[in-house]
Amino acid sequence: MSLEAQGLCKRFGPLLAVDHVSFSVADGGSLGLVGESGSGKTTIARIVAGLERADGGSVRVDGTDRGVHVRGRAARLARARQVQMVFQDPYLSLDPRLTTVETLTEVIALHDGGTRVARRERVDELLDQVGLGDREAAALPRQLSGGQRQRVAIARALAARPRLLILDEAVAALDVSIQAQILNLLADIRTQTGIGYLFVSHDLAVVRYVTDHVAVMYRGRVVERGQTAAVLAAPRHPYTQLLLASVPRPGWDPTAVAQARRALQANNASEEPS
Amino acid sequence: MNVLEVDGLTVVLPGGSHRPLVDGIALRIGAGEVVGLVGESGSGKSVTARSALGLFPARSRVTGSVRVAGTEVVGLAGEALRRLRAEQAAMIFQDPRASINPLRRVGDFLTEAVRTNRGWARARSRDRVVELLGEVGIADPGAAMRRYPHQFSGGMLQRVMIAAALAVDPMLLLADEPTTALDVSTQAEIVAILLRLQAERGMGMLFVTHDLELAASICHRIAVMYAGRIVEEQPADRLFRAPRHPYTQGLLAATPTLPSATGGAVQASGRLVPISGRPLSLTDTPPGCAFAPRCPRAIALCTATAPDLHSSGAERVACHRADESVGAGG
Repeated sequence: MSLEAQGLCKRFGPLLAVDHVSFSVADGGSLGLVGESGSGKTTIARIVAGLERADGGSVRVDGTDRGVHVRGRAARLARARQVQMVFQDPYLSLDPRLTTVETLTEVIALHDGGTRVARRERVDELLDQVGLGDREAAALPRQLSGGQRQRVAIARALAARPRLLILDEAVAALDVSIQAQILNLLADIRTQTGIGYLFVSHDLAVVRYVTDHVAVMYRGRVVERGQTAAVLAAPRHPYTQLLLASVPRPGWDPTAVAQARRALQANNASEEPS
Repeated sequence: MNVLEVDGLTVVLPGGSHRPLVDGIALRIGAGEVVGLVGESGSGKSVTARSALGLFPARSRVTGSVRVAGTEVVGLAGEALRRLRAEQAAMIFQDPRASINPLRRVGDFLTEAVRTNRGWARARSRDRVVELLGEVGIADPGAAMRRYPHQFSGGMLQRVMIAAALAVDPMLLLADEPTTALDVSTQAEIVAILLRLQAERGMGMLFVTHDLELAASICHRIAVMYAGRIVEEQPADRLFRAPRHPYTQGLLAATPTLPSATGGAVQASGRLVPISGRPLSLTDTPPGCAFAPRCPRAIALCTATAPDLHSSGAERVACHRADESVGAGG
């Protein structure tokens, strides 16, 4: 298992944002974590990445517990490289003063060390992997388009040779024609490298193209999980059914969806002890 | 009667080294009609929508004509422009939080529009606002009016913005990505409210979105924009079934779909067909068709001269090879 999360809990003040959530990502597997805002999906991604500390539960990557403190530079680096993250907006997550090559070289120098020649070879390999050319290699983030910037962010994450890549709404800000390029790129990279994905998204249609398993989150809990194709074809939980019905398509009836949503909310309000 | 008539609208930024933001736009919206304007970032769809309110980028050069319910908007200023925005056209934006004063109670925000534009007394304005909030599905309008914007969820606040837009009984409603910032199940609620109110009041609506499937499921007619031009316009169902322009075909093929979609077959492989390359930036000014560098069907003619938007019946398409590509949709 590249990732095993057991009984994760996280409370923010009165809000139980993550409520005993467990899941796993097989070696080279891809798990979609789907839900709407406030469902707890991003909090989970941040816990797995180590950006947030869980109140309870454990996260293991490749068998090592990520909750245990490590001492020393080598141990911390080894831990850092296990999991890398790609965010929604590459404009905010890339250093605006570094060119693509400089961004990648920094990560490689930190994790691999090596000679200048070896580092440059690794940079070329990464650029090739994400489909960036010479112009993009020498460019600053502001000189790149949104899709190209997201390719840089992916290359930077890959530079550390992670076991697990967390993609938090990584294609949500992209235009459709570019989004398709990145989705295909992500599928190719997983086939080539065997890196596991934790793909966090609000978009069920997108999840279909990058994941083989999916967990649907609602109010901090996983309400349905299974193989992506099976869940999308025959959702069992009313919330999953609502999410699927909410996606516009020919013959779509927004009024019926709105009614189903109110019914679900009313149901939950009466069930929950608050 | 048309509530919106746009003819040859061209907006050029000062400087001269850029292509126009929008170039030769022609568009009609009848009373009671919902027209979608679809395109990716930078295609000019928001510039087009805002032109109906006389909202043009600072110091830009505007040519052509934009008429809202017969009133020419280009060149309109002062009191006449204020009256247009107060009485004839209203707009709903993507992010409700960015278009409402966070320091004022929602009730004050809503009554202000009615009081200043209609000159109604406080009590009468209040009654009208309560009625409007009821129409957009806010359960306890009285309590809602006493609250501040931060006490509303995104979906609830967008309802408030819809109520504000309708306070002036506009003939034309401009909706610029009104659901993009909302959760997908909230989107359905907002769309349902918009469509109900639009139909009840017989308003014309321009629905701007990047989401072709959303546009296809709620609009009567859809215009697709690319790099500042309308490249195709068709009745919504036909655009989806038989797109004529290679860009529209490419967009449809690149859009992730769900397996249970009723329209059309869905490939089992789960691999999308992206459009190669990237959209034109404002500084790119190719002589030919703006889509030619990304177009799988481009020929020498396409990179030499830009195709005109040809009408036949209910459809318009700007492609040199449109007549050959019937039914070749991706």
